[in-house]
Amino acid sequence: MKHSLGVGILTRCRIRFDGSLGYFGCGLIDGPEIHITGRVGWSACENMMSGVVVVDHNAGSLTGAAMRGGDLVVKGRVGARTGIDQKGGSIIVLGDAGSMTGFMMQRGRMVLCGDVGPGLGDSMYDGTIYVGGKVKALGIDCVPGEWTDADTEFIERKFRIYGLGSPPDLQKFVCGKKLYNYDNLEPAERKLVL
Amino acid sequence: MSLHEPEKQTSLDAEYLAGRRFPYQEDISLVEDIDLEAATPGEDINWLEDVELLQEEGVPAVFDRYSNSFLKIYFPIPAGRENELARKVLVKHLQSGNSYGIVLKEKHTKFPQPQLGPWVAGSKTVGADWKPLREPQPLNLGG
Repeated sequence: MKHSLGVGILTRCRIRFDGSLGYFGCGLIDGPEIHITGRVGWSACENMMSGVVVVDHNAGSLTGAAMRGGDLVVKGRVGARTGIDQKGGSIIVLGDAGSMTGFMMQRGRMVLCGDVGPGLGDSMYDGTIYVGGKVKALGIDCVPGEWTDADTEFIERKFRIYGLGSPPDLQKFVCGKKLYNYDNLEPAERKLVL
Repeated sequence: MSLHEPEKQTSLDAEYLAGRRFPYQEDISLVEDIDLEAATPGEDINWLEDVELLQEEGVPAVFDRYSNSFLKIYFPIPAGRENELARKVLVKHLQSGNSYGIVLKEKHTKFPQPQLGPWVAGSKTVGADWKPLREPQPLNLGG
């Protein structure tokens, strides 16, 4: 298995990987449209700036870590801490997601069509997480959000563009904003806002 | 050795970095024909979905992540078109090569990439022959 393939490509192009990628595939990209017919290892699309990546099967832990923009579609399952520190873009997963998904998410959108492990959206600052299956447990400061027409438009548009069929019924989760000034607080003060 | 205190700049302003204001910050007609979908990968506006109209020093502004600076917008923005026009001004700024991060590419980019980024087809490649401005000097650790 080759690692760090398709990394740092900063131009518009189309790339197809027939097979699977190792760790850190397609990281730091800004512009390409990439199709991977197999699986991907840890940290696929880490720090992705823009573009489109479609993975036909499963992805490992830390998928889309610190992603800044673009669309990442995983048609299988994803591992733990998917979208950790996500700062933009859209991560769409048709299968299940592991624990601590969306940990410290700051902006962007995640659509998780299957079940999700414990700690969903833990310590998120902003952004939106949509879940189709069961949530094992919400993380700290991750709360249900109010569905709007903009949510419906976004979900329907992305499912149409990527040919994903009809979207499932989704629950929406957002930041409760109780930890918004987390860095400014002393440990004793933190307890007061939780 | 200079005895003056170095200038300190706390705001993140594209005009300060460039030393001038750009016409498309003041004239809506210069950005109306920008095609956002054509300028971005995929079938929608892709990364621009996260770009929204913000404010900097009380003035409407869009954040340019490629120079870590705010680009202020001085023309009146029609209601309901805030984000669209913010995205168009930003894309015009990037495609024009005026973003300070893009200006720096010619001299400082260390690996080959399109000078104007993925928003302009056929942009020339920079960074193919990068050399350090000064040769690294051997460390003198004394002794």
